[in-house]
Amino acid sequence: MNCARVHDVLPLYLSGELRGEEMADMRLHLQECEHCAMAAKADRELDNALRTAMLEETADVSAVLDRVHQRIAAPWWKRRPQIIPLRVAAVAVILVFALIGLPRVYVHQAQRNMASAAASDHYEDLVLLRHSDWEHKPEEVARFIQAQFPQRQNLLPSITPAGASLEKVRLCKLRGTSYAHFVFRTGTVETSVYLLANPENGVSYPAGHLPDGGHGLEVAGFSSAGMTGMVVGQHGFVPTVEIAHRLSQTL
Amino acid sequence: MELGEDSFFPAHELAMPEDPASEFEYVALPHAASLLRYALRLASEKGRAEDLVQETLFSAWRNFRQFKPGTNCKAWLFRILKNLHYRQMRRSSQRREVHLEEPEAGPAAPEKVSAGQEMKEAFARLTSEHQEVLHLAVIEGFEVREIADLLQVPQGTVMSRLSRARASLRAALTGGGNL
Repeated sequence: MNCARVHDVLPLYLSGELRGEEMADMRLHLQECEHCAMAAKADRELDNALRTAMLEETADVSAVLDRVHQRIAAPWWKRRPQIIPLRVAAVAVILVFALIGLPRVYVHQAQRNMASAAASDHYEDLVLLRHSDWEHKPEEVARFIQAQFPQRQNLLPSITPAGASLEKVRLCKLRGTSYAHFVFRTGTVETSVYLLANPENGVSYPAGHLPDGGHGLEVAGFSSAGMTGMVVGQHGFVPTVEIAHRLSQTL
Repeated sequence: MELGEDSFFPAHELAMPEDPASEFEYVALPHAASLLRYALRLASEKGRAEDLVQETLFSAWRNFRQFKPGTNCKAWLFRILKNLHYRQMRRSSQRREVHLEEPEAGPAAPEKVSAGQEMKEAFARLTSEHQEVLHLAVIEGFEVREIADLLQVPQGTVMSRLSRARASLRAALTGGGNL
């Protein structure tokens, strides 16, 4: 090993990284070369002086360690939130919306669509008189109920609004789904009750209210253990929400 | 070891200690003082340096499974700190050279005159590059390969930088100006 090589690897020698044969060569050279030995000694003394000076004052880390211990010991929901890159946050928001928000909006919109369809059907049946396939007679109504709701022989009393009487019933289609459309009358006021027996594993909607279903009609939806339905009537004249709530309790 | 720009952590093999909490206490937390010394050199003020160390240790705690037992935990922690600091620098667009114009603002410059005051003043006159390499090698005791890994430069660069830094420090001690 010559002096130039010693100069090159002196940092490795001082940090103790020289190994094996190269370390042996270095030691041998330093024993034989006073100039290099002096240089190595001077660097080592410089390092020691620098280390001593810089470590003269020990940094106080107790405050930092206290804070770290507190954060580590805190439950995860109390820890200070980390700064999340905007891209990650945006993806997370989209995922949450897609997984949770979107189905809710969809259900809400589907319920709203069905309520609008019920209001239109009520208007077509009772104002425009577009259909004639109604059952009016008590025995026909009884047969209708027997066919559509075989498990509900006493359905009629439980769905008749207070002070009203059944006028007619027919089977209708609302957005592709068959509903029994019962029409009750209280004086000049007509109330429609649309009923559907809950299919197994079917979707039942939570209670909802559509104050403006078009044509001045309002719609209230309900769902019970066995039935799903809607109550339609003229806005301000028929207490649709009250009737729907009662049906959700009794059916 | 490769360290991606967006990665905080060296690509250690996954090896979860049997008791991460006590392992972390035993292996990582003793390096807090060293981390703070280095953070004080990188950050412009004590508060920021302490925040940096706190974030470093908490990040290390949350990702302790990435630390491979038996490797140099201190070097791993320094790399996390360095990467966190770079990220903060990118956010704030604050350049480190600004600190060098006000070396007295750092806590490394004590108010009272001590036996090492002359050495500290000479050290403060070095370039940031020389200060950093001397700090890591001499004060923190890192090996050349570890410094190269931390600074993302070849080992030869570290060795030549160390030689020049020592020469500059020696010159500063004998009355040289900014080096």
